[in-house]
Amino acid sequence: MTNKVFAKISFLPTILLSLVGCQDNQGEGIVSFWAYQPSTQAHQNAFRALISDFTEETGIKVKLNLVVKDSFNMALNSALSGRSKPDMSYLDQPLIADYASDGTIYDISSMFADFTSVSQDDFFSSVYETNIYDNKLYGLPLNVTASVLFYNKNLVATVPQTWEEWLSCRDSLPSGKSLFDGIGNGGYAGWYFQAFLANCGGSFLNEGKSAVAFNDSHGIEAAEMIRSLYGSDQTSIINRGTSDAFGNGLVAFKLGSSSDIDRFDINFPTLNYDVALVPSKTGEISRSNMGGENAVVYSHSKLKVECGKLMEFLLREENLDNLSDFTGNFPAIRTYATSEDTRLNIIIAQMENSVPRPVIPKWIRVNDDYLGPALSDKILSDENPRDIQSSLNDAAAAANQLLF
Amino acid sequence: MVVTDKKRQKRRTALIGWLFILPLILYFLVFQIAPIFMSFGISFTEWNWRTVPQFVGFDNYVQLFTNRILYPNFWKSLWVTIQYMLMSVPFSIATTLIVSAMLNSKIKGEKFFKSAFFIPSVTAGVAISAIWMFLIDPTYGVVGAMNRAWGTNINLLGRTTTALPLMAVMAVWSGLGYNVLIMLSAMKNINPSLYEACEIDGGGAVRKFFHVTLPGVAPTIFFLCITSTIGSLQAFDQMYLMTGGGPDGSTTTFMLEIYNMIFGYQEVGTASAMSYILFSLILVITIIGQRFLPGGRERKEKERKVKDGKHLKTC
Amino acid sequence: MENTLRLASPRKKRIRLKPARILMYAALILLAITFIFPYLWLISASFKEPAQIFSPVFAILPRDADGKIHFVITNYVAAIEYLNLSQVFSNTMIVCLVNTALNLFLNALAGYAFARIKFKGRELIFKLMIASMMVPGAIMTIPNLIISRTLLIDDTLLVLILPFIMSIYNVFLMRQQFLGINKEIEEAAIMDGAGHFRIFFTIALPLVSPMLVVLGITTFMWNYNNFMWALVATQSPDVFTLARSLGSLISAGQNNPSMYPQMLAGSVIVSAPLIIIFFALQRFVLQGISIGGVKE
Repeated sequence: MTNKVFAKISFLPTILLSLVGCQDNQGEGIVSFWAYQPSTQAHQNAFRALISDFTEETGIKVKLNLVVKDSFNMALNSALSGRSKPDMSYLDQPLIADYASDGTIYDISSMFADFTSVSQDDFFSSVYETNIYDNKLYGLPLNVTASVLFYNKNLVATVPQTWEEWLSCRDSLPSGKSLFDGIGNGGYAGWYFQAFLANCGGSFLNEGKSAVAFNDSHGIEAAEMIRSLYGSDQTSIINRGTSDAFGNGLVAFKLGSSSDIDRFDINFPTLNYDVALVPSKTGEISRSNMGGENAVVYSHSKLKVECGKLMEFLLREENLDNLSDFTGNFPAIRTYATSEDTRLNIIIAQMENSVPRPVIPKWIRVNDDYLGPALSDKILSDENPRDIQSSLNDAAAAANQLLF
Repeated sequence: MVVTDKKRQKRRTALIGWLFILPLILYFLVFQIAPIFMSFGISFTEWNWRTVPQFVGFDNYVQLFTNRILYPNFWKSLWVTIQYMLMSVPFSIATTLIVSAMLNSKIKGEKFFKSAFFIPSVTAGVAISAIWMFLIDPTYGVVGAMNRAWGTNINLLGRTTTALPLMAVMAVWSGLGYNVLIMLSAMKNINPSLYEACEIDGGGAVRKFFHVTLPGVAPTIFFLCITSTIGSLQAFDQMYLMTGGGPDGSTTTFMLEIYNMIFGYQEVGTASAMSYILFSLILVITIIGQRFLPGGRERKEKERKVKDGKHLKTC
Repeated sequence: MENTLRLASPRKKRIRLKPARILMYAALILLAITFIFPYLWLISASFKEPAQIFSPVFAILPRDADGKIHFVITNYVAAIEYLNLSQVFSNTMIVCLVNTALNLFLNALAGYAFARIKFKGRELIFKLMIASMMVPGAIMTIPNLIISRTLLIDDTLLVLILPFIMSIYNVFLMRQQFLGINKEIEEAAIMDGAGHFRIFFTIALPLVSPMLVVLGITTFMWNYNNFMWALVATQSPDVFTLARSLGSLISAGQNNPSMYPQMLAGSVIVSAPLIIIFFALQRFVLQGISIGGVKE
């Protein structure tokens, strides 16, 4: 009787084991490469075609894993402790420090020295810096973008260059329209804040990089400027709460980057807009923040040489141009970053004076959990705005405790 | 001889019994017991998921409870979760009772209503979030249309005062069908003669409800209370998909904060400690519930003692 | 005296009830509308041109620029591509069917043992299992990920199946059902010399088949809609399920309203099968949950 039981139960393991074999994540000699998933199917296919070109040329097989940007970091971190570890991947600029500090990614200084077609001077210098941790090179920039000023030509007569000019644009707005679309919530607020902080002479960290400095007088000035731009009248509040307010012509100004250009051209073709450098405080040059992806190689990988070849391949002009198209950014190599589109050229010009985020582990937490909410939820809250100095001080205290 | 035969039979039966539950035991050990201990152990470490865990003793717990600077969201997310529970559970039970009572009073089309209410229960939580997100969009959805038509500015997900209540309403909406089914079948199990007795004693519809129906479904109410509470304390899906934590952290529930700890800030040890704190909270609430809610075991004992030896009118 | 008066005027009672009943019907119908309307709106929006979805005009039926009724399927085409529908659908089917089959069989086994087979420690183990239902899933998540890794099943379809292969709740329900079976048939079988397993297979299981059908449906649906575990345990797109795939579509739409059209079409695609199954097997589902309700 019990034999029959065993016989009947034993088919279970066979089914289960057969399902294990269904997934073959790490084949021998296949480079696993993770990248951001482009939003259109056409771009996804083009990305795959680009990779198969590489395989054709070098004989190195690559498994391309396109992951939606929103869940990329989470999936990546999970995979790195599991079986489906990538050999090489895109990595968001701020994560370089975290992954480098615990040895997850590999110091590619010597690998880079062997590259024949690309050298350090080819890159925008500030972007290159985002890959330096502890004086070693941990990745190479692929695509970059900077935030610039988007303005609605129907609502703005002359483009402002200083903060005073910017604020005075409010006087000539018709009713129902407001000045500024806002800097977003949480992490985004922290990111855009940099465009204001840098433009009045401030910076996130102090000189010796031993403490944060965004709660000093520059930080307060920047926060006050954003508050003034927001305005507390009902129209401003309503417009800021409307999705795509700028695209719908409700606000005069917005901060955005190259991906926004595509978005507005496609979704709001009748919008009469243009871009300009971000206004700065009188006496300061126009600086902005930056974002982008770097390519990194992982320490555990047994295919580092192959990864190096893939990296150099991706940095070729035609390939990098395509990659930038996919993400809506532009190439990190200066000479490739040219365009017939005047708007993109303005972003490229802004890039020259863009400031990177601090290359320090756990900066993302500071940005998303302390600084960002201090701005979007406390200082810039419509319902209950709180004192600027104390909010920034709280955020700074938390940041210092976490980072140092 | 007979005795040893019986003994052998008994042992054989026992063996077969164990064999039958062997998969359950294995599963239980691997996927329930082991994780409970592992999680406990991890809560005493600091671990970023990529490298090796480091032992830190009670530091995680202490920091969570006391360090408002480093963990500003701990108490807030706890409070948000409790608020959410206090909003959704009573509302859910109340609507379930009312709707079930209505359906119980010999209505035509009972099946139609039951099915209509049940549709969200078979819809993926992700899809429900998508539907609602679109419906209440202040520019594009139904709310958007209302805003344009009446010049209002209703932005349910964007205001701290309305975001969480909206989630509670969604939860009640999604769960109504399932709860009504359970409650209705319990109501149908009440002895009709109890209703007749109440009528004879001079009771109308309202008295019948409070004196016959409610006591009759007290165990079901208790069951729904406990399961809804435990469920609401772990609310995650909607908040993650629709607001990502909401305006000013007003929809950051405890589970969402745990998720952020793991996948946002790579603090696995802290997240484990938080999950144990949640576990303790659930235990405490369940024990309190058993004592004070109608239908709970301890309360029933008390009621039984009261009723013994007394002649009570039904109404 | 009072009673006779009441008996003498039944008609008055009926008239008094009517307004209340009308109110009740009205309330129920209104409520039912709030349940049906979102789905109608969803379906209608999914067939609209993206421009019309974002237009300020509130219209139930999709219309084109001329105002004629015009259903569009571009959103569906886009959603199907984004979701990678064919592979994701087959993944979901494999996971749901295998898990449901195993779940039903193993849980029934355990339920039967708890109900009908006497062995030492039976009550204790059962109570322990019930107690474990209180442990929040949050505690299990990370360790289950680690265990899945050790078992080498992470990021495969198995990781979506194995951790849910037993369900204490289902065991509880099965035990409840088996307790309710007529003992005489079993005793007769024992007299004939049948062992427990044969009794289980040939007698007990068929007798609880209504519950099996119901549990099969609910387990299938639960697997189909499972999102959070798929979110954390799988990363490769080739093992995504429908719920997981839809989840990434929605995340993409959270900050980017231009994804709304695809998001809506995707939601229809993912929800439709279950809703259709539900309406087809309505009788069983509603009945079964009533059976499984709490008894005193």
